[in-house]
Amino acid sequence: MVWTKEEQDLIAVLDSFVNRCAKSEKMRDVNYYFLLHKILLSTKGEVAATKKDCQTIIDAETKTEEQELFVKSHQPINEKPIKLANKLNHDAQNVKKRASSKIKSFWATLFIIFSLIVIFFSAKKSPNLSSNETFSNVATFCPTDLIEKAQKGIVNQDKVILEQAIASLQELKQQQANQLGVECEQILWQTQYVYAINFLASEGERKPAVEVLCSIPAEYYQDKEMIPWFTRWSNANSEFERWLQQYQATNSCSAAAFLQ
Amino acid sequence: MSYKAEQTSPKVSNNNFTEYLHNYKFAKWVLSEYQDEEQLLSFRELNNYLTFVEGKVLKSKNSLFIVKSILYIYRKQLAISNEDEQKLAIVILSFVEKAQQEQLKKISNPHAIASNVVKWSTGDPSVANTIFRALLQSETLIHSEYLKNLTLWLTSKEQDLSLLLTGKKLQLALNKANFNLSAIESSFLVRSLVFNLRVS
Repeated sequence: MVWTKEEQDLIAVLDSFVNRCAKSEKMRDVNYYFLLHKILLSTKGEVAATKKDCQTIIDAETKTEEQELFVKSHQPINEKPIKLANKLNHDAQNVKKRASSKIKSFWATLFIIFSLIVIFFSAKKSPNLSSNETFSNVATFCPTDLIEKAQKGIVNQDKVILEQAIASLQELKQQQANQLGVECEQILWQTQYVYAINFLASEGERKPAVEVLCSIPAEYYQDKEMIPWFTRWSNANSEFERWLQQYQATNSCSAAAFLQ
Repeated sequence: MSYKAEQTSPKVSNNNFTEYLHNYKFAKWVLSEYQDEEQLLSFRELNNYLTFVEGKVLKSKNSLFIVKSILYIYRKQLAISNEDEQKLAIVILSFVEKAQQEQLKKISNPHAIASNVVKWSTGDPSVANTIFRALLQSETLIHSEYLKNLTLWLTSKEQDLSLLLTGKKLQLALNKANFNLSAIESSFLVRSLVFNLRVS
């Protein structure tokens, strides 16, 4: 089964109408799908007649002050959909009679342009996977794009990308009962380490750097030749040394064994 | 509960068994560092458990266990590729989390919905994602018949017109429609309206 040419034209008209209604504040209280159903029953799906009826509703929806007051006063929002649909349709026809020919031609032109735009974009649209926001919510699952992003941040020494990668990985870890897939976990630790040393510490933010380094488990530091950053920073600044001693006394920091 | 009461209430004992079996397998799965797929629920066990947890908010590890079970079942049945499975995991977890966080009234059992959507979408993450987003956005038209037709229609790349709604099903959907419908639902309803002219 395929759509006939006439059905395709009809669908384009209805799509355009629905899109227009969806953007209208005034139509929020109206079940315009139901309204369309009533229109189609009366026009029996004849394209020109359906288009005309839809246009009538749109004309009614667009406002001169007089029209707005008229439609509002005849459109109580708590009416049942079927009554409302009939009433709106009826009111709209009355309004149309009142409207001046100038307004009609203006809105007709606007409607045609709008329809063309909608049809153009509808044709191009296809269902896509969700945004990056959705895809950052991984956990024991470890998507390659997230790893690649972190690696890109490390290779290019890009602070913004590193921050984004860390945030995404941590969010995903939190979402998944504080669990991460092995590859994601490894890349998170590496990204945090690079960020702490190359950006925080090198920009003088040594205390935040220590906090980040201490959040990385000992597992990461094992089997690596580490530079004793804590000792170096302590030698250079006695105030930092005192702070570090206090920090280690009150916080667990397995990294200290490798960085001192 | 007395012995007599247990005898006259098979549902309670069935629920107890379902919960016991789930807890046992879940514990073994956790102890295996979340690696032992043999501990994941079978299709029947999953359905029993999803019925049992209707309306309850699952803890995150438990939720993960259920999602893993869903994917484990359909990976075999639908021959889902590893890449698609990863994508599906992401979209399901995101959907379940949002549905549970926001306590959406109409989505009382997001895991059960997710399981059905994976099946109807034949494991296509793009379709599943579109459906989940539509559900979270509109929250109006969630009854299985509608959801099934919508998902299958989308899976057919909007080509299978026999899946469009007609007659009473269409009437029901129209009654519940509102301006908040997602683009795909709107498209589905509009095409159903036109298709309905053929059959009416």
